[in-house]
Amino acid sequence: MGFGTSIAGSLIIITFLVIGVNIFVALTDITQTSAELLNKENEDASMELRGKTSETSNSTGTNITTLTTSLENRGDQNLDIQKIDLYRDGVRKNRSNVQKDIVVSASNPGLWDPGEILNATIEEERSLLQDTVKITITNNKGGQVTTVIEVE
Amino acid sequence: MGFGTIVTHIMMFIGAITIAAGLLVVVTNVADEATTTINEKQSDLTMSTQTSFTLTSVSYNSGTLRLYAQNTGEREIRRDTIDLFINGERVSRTSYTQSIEEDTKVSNTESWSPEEVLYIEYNTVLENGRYTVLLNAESKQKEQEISV
Repeated sequence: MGFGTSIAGSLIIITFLVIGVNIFVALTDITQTSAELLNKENEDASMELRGKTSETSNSTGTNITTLTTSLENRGDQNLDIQKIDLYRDGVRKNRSNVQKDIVVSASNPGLWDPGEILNATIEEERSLLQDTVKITITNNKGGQVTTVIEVE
Repeated sequence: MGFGTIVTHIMMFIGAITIAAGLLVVVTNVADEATTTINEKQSDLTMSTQTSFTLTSVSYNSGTLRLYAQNTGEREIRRDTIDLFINGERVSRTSYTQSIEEDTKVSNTESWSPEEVLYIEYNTVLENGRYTVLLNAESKQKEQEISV
């Protein structure tokens, strides 16, 4: 084999190596992104309705209705209680006006763990409510539950 | 080794180098294009993966359509890409107001950051019936049906 052929062969091998590495890196990136996408799609942030109550009292001279919705975290993620939102008849309540308590097995303070029950409570003047109210509760991972409560 | 043989070897050497170089240029160009395309697709996929929002509530009451949506993705969404459609008809951006709910704000930017709740208020008269409300942002779409 001549000198020229050796150089040409070496050049071709080096070039194919460089090209192969580039394509390998690009394909690795795209595989990694696909895996992240798949993991994200597999994330479950579902919640399930466990109960709902309505109670009206007149301790302050005004009829105040307390509406409580109980939900179970049915997903596989710990949810931040502070980021749970409540909508009453399509209007979002400010987070400071929604009382949120974990009522079963509060192992991680501030977090709503899978299997735990959360009570979300709001108080409204009875005169501002219809006979039924629609409550929607959402979490920051895209899960949401809607229910209708008959006001007592 | 005669003069003719040396010339022949030199010509073969030059020929081999020329063919190899030509081949390398062609293959390199093809490979570069392939790598660029793969990188662009990967970038698109990453952007698409990281952009996500949920239409959490749509309601109509007393001439006001209210929409709430939460950024459930991992990157900011440009608010100037947001469009509202009712029964397939686009609503002019100047006809409604949009804002980020104060108690959900995680940054002071004009964008719609992850976990923030966007509020859209549109004053309009809707006749009784069913309506499909669609929100479009950065090529992602979410819709809900409401009854009026």
